[in-house]
Amino acid sequence: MIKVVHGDNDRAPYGWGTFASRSLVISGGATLIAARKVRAKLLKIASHLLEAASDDIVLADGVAKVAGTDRTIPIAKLAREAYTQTHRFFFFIDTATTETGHYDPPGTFSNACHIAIVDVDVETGHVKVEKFLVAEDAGRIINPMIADGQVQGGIAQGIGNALLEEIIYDENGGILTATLADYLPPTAREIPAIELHHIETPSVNSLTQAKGLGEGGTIGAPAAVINAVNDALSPFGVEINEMPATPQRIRAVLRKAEKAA
Amino acid sequence: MSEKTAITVNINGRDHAIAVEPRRTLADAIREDCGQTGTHIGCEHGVCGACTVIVDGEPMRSCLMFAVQADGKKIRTVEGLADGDKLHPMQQAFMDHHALQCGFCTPGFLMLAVGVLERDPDISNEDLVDVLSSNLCRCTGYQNIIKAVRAAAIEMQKR
Amino acid sequence: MSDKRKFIGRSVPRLEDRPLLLGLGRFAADISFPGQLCMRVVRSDVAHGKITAIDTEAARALPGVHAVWTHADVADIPQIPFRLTGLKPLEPYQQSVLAKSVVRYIGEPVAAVFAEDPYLAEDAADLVALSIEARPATTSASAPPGQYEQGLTTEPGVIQKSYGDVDAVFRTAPAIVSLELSIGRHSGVPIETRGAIARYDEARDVLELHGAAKVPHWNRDTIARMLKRTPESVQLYEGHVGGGFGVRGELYPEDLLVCAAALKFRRPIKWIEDRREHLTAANHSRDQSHHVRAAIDAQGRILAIEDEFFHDNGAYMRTHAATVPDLAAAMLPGPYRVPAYRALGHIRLTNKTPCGTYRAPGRYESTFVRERLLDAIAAKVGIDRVEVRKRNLIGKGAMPYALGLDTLGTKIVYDSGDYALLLDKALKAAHWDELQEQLRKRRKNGEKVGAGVAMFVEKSGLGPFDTVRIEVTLDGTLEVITGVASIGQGVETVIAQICADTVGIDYTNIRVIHGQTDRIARGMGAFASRVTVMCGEASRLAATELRARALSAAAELMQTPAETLDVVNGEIVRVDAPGPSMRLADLARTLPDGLSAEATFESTHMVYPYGVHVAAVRVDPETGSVAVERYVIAYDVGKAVNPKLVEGQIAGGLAQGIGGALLEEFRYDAAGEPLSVTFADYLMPTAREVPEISIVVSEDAPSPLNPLGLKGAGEGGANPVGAVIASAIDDALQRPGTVTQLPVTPQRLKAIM
Repeated sequence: MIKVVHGDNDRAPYGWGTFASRSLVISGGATLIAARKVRAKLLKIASHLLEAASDDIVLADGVAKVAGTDRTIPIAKLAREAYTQTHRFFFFIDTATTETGHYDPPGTFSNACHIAIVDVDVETGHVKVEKFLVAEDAGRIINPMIADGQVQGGIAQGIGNALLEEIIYDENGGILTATLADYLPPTAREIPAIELHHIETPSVNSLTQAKGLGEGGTIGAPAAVINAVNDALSPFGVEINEMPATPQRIRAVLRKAEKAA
Repeated sequence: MSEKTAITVNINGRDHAIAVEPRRTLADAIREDCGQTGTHIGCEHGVCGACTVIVDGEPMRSCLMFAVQADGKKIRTVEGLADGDKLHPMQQAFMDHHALQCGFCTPGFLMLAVGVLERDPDISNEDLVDVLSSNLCRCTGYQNIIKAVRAAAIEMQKR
Repeated sequence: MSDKRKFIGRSVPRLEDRPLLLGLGRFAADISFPGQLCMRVVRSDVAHGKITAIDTEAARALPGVHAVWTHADVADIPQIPFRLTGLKPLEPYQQSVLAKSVVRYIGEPVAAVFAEDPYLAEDAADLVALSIEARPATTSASAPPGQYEQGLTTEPGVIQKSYGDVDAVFRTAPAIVSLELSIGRHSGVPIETRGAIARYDEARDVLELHGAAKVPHWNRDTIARMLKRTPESVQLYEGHVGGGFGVRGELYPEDLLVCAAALKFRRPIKWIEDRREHLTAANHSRDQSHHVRAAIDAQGRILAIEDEFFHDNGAYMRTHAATVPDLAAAMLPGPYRVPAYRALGHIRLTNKTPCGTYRAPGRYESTFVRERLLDAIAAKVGIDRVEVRKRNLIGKGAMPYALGLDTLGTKIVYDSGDYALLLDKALKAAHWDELQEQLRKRRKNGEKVGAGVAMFVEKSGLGPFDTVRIEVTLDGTLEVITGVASIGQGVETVIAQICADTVGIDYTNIRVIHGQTDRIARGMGAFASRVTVMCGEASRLAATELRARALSAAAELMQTPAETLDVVNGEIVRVDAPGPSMRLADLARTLPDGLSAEATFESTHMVYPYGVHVAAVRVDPETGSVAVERYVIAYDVGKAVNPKLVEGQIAGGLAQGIGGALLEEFRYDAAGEPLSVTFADYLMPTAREVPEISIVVSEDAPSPLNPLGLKGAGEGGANPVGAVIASAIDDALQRPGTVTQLPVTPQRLKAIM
């Protein structure tokens, strides 16, 4: 069982927190480094307890085993011995089975292509996003389910940015969108099924070969949606270049075209 | 559970408006209803003195008083002894003379000693030991407490 | 390490004091969590009987009552296991968390009420109706054993320790001295009662127990095992602790109840006992009666000692199992040469509160027995009480001295000691000869005054290990993470002093962590006067390693050999030439893994401090009361890290010793009803009862078993107090052998006089 402790500065080594899609890349790399050290330590302890060379020991399925034999010892027992029998091990290992990893990589650059298909109701100005597809390359995907969740969540926010969300002030600086009746985040109605494709180009700048991807949805989606809206409006010879492309703004742009016509 | 009565107790200069059952002890009210946990409970039958606070100038066993009896009264607890960051001479003397070990009986002794010395600054040594024998301490064996109180008495005279 | 000792040996002010003086301590009763339920235990009001029914209906119907538990609700929790000296034959006598069908002492937990607030919980507890079919109660430990249950008697075991051919010696001895002695039942009785708050953190899957003390790691491991959780998923937290004395911090039924309830109800559970409960449910101690004989020669030298004793352990065998009688048997010989020895300790169960250790466990009792014996030998042979001791003392040259006995898993080997020298120091400090003169004069005037002397060897520094990790934090303070516990004795200060001198930093820049099972994976806690010795040495080792690492890393950065560097006041400086220095914090920041070190000190042998007490008393013939007029304690601790704290421990121990000698007793009537249930009945010493003491802290015999020479100081103040006061009373009455029973209450003394 693996427990991750975070956000407790009494227990964790000094850290820089979570922002800029950094956690998996940097913390993941540091974790890998520390885990490899722990592995080496476990092999040392196992080799001592099983009386075999470290190289002959295999760690798998929670057990340390001398390859080619049935001599095993559960990893839980290795750890317990290391902690409660420190006096037997301290001459070649210190701090039991604890290790620290440090990692400071250069940045990574995920990239993606977003495609949106929209249906614009020219009577009302309402835009429905019918379909959304994204192909994303965030290096090696550690947990596809979680990665997909980040992309989907980001796209939802991107759609919100493109079509719904705006903080509006009046000329006196009074905020007009101070409740959720006025500031409109997207609901389940506004977000279509999203088709997701991943390309995994392993990152050379990241120990885990993973890149961060939390923000890609909000980067690509607004542009894709607005491009799609403009594509829909192109027969009218009009363009909309501001966000959110609210029904009022779309209607305004269409009215101009109608007048011109 | 019986009807609660609204009372106001003034602790260390601040009013606390609370609602308590008639049977609620002052000690429990100070600790739980007013959030001042420095006053400790050791026996609830008035012998150990860990619950000693000063009520209208007199050291009292807060475990033997009902909160409703303290309505409108001025109570001083250990939390009100220090002056900001500056320790009261009694607190300083306890530190200087190693007059506390676990610290559980300490607030009671502090309030007892401060209360008595404020009332009777020239108290004789004999009488002082008599007064200090009102409270129980299980860690120090009392000698350092007596030394500390004597030293604080001198400091307090200077003020 | 350089020889400069800035902090070790100085009575520096305690780091613990400020929050305690400001009333900002966090004792168990001060800890509360939102949504908590309060637990109140329903206890047996019958000393021995079979439960026929427990009616909880009225209690459960009270608004605000969440649940009422009986044994059925905790049936899958095993009985509380042994922590020390656990012998297999004793296991059937362990205690269940709630009584299953038989109750064995008044105060035994039978049910538990969980309610919204403590007053309500107590109201509900009063409504729980217990139907118990009373059985005859056993109140005597020396009467022949009866039945505990089918197939088990009330004598769970007998401790046997011996060496030499005792029978042969007694057969041919020139003289024999024989005494019947008893020590009254009393105990630690800290001013803070017990308490526990359990909380289950669902997100982390961690069961937290707050209000822990003494042995948090063992308790954590055991609670985890008993509740079928992994050790990592149970964490214990020690806040401030209002005195322990051996009594607080052992695993009690109430600890398991709050934990099980927190898991079941998914709400924090708070339990704080009241004083009445404490006096009937927390461990009692000291209840022993001895029949001791010594074979002596014409000069009063001991040839053999034989002791048969009955140890009243109350209703069950709790976590200490056979520890107390084992220690009594093992430490009885004390500082004297005893060529042949046999002790037979009967562990007996009675229908009284179960027992455990209390400051100087087994030794308060056996010192009383041994020192009474020495006085009796003196009287028999017609020599002075000081002289008889001198004749029997183990000489300095005999150290290390193997006793031929073992206890607590170690062989008893007195590591160092100059007993004769300390006796001289004590007598000198007491102005013994002038004192004798004064007392003689006063006795001539009709006053009943007298003096006594008693000697003892204590044990301390019980291992098997302590581990300490030290980390340099970002602000340059040292965080010392230990596996010990604080019971108010000054751990945070003393360990800081040792680390301060070893690393080269001010002690006020050191923070010592204790009692938190989630900060260090293993620990042994605080008992048996072990912390300064075991944790002190582990800290010194870790600090030494830390300093070495710091200098080695700094040497690289500062481009100079490590030998030219030193750490002074938290700064790494060059000692051979002036030049730039570097703060420890800054060094730590440059190192990828920071700056830390960990060390373990192991020990299979205890270390043995020793002492001499001298007391002068005045007996009031009218009332039978005894006033202690003068008291001198000489105690050798090898090395005193903080002399004032050592004196504090001694003074505190003395006060408790006086309580046991003159005042404190848990009395029971024939039906097993406890009679000492409030402080009006159980009399604790006040400032009036404790005299001014002269304390001589001696460092004549540092222990060779750790580099600083440390021995523990916690129990030397209490050990011989019963013995020395008895001796002084005999002298005041000019009747050797008068006092054979403790406590010497006025009623008892009047009856004797």
